[in-house]
Amino acid sequence: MSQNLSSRWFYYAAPQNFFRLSAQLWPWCAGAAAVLGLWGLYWGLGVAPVDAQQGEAYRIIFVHVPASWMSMVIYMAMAFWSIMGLVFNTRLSALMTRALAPTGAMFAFISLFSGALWGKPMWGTWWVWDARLTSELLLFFLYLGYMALTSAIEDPKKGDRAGALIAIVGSVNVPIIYFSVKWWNTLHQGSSITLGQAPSMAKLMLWAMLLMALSFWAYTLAVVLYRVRVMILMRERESHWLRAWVSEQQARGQA
Amino acid sequence: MMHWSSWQAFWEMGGYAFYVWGSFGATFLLILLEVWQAHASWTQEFENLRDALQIEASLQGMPTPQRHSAVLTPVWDAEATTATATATTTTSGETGASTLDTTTP
Repeated sequence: MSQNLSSRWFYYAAPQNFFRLSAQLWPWCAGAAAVLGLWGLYWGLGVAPVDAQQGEAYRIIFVHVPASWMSMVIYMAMAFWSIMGLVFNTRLSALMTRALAPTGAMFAFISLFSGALWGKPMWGTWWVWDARLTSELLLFFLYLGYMALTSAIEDPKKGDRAGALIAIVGSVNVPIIYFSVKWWNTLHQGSSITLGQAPSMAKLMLWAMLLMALSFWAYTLAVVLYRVRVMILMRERESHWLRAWVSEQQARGQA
Repeated sequence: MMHWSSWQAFWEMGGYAFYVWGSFGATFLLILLEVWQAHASWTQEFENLRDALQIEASLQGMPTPQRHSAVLTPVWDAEATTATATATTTTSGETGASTLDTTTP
C-alpha cells in the first residue's frame, strides 16, 4: 500500500505525467473556486448580519482573513517543495515553488491592502509598525525577493537551488506572523479562529469566511497547476513527448 | 434572509463603501490580472514551441551545409582543405567540393 502510494507520488514527479494530470485537474479547481467564491460572497456581503462594533466595515474580513491565510500557507508550501526538491532532486518540486510565488505575493499584497482599508476607518490610520503588520510586510518582500532572485539567475537549476534556500530560510517568518498577536501587544486584533476553541464570530459570518477561504484555496491550486504547465512547456522543450504533444495539438487545431 | 433593505443600502455599505468595495475590488482586479497573465504566458510559450517545431520541420528536407565548404574556409586553411578535398575525390568520387576548392584568382 505505502509502496504503491510512494511510487505513484514519484510517478507524478516526472514532468510528462504531471503535465497530463494538471491538464485534467486545473479546470475543476477553477470551477470550484468560482462556485465557492460566489457562494461566499453571497453570504458574506448579502446575508451575514451587521457587526455590533464595526458596522458594515467588518465585511472586509471576508477577503482580508482568507488572503492572509493563503499568503502564509503558500509560503509554507514553497518551503515544503524546496525541501522535497533538495532531498529527492525531483524536477517538478522547483517548478511548484516557482509557480506558487506570484500567487503568494498577490495574496500578501491583498492582505496588506485590505488591512490598510480596514485600519483607516477602525483604527484611524492606514498603517502602524506593529508586529503583525510588519511581519506580513516582510513576507510580501520575501515573495518579491524570491521572484527577483530566481528570475535573475539564468541557469534554471542554479536559480531553483538559490530560490529553495530563500524559501526555506524565509519560512521562519510565517509562525512569527501567526503568533505575533499573542507574543506581542499589537493593535491588530487576535485570531479570528483558534483551533480547539469556540470561534469568536457569529456562525453565518464564520461560514462565509470559510467559504471564501476554500475558494481562495481552489483558486490557488488552479492557477498554480496552470502555471506549472507553462513552465513545463519552457523547460522540457527539447523532450520528445512534449514536441509530439504540441504537434498533436496543432493538428487538432487545424482539423 | 437578505440583510439589505435596498440595493442602494447595499452599495452604500453603511457609509464604508470606499473601504469595503476598495478591498473587494482590488482583490477581484488582481485575480483577473493574474489569470490573464497566466493565460498570456501559456499562449506565448505554446506558440514559441510550435513555431520552432515548424521551422525545424521545414529545414528537414534541406541539405545540411558542408563543414569544410570553400566559401567558409579561411585562407590559411585553404591548403588543408584542398588536400582533404582531393583526397575525397580520389576515394569516393565527390567532385562538387573539389572544383570549388581550387583557389584560382
